[in-house]
Amino acid sequence: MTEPLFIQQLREGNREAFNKLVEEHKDGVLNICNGFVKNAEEAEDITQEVFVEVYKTISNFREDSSLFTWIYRIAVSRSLDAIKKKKSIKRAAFFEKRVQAEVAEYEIDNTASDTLSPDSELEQIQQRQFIDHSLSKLTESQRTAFVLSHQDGLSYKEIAEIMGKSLTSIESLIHRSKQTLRKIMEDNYHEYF
Amino acid sequence: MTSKNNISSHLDALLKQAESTPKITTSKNFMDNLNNRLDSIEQRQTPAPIFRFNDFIKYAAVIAIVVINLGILFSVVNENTTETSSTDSISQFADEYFPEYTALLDGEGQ
Repeated sequence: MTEPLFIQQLREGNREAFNKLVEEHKDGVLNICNGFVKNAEEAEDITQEVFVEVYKTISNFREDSSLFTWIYRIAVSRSLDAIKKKKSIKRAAFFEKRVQAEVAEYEIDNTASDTLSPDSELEQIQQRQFIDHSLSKLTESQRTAFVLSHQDGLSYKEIAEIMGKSLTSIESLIHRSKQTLRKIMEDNYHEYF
Repeated sequence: MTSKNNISSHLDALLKQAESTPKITTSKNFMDNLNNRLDSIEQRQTPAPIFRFNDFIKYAAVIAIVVINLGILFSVVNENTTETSSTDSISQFADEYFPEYTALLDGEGQ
């Protein structure tokens, strides 16, 4: 089936076509969201939001990009919204401690394995926090480029389409994001290790 | 004390770790949850029926309302035509109560 015909079916509210679309892209969207929020459960919630938005706004899709690009653009935008929301929660001093405790608790639950010693567990948690903190210091476009560039099967051309930038600017953005991340890690290394 | 070389190699490893987010897949009930959400959205978008009458009763109710309205309209119109109009009443009593005013009006009319 051609994409325009498929889009037409989606616009008509054909649930079977929509389910096919979800099946095809759900894991890709989930991994993009997880690349931003670094929490599988939260990433799945955002993925749900993404597909609900796709379902509601498919009539507004102008077809100036591919359906896949459009969906991934929504995924990036929703993930960035979730990060901003988290940041604003963290800004409130009262919530900050609670969020950190929840994050630590979650990480202990999820990363701790029976085979790891308490020291290794602690080290893993520390490393994860260090990486998340360093990633959060990147600018929005750097972080987006960084996350998308490490998704399986996404070419630079596709990242450029998703981010609405030229191929050359994406190449330099990805390169700069790695450099900046390395610099941030260097600067904050002694706070964590 | 940690040497610079050690830090550098540790940073390389951390950078690699940052680049390689483990691949995950959606949970088993992902599609069910999504379809439930979409169903509730569709239900919200469909306007709830106010009356659940069959078609015959609906048409009969509309015709009855139209007939009642026409009846009220005719009765009101008939009442207005049979009543003495307010201007007639005024001219009837004006001569008696305001003779000067009537004379003035008559003069202007001429």
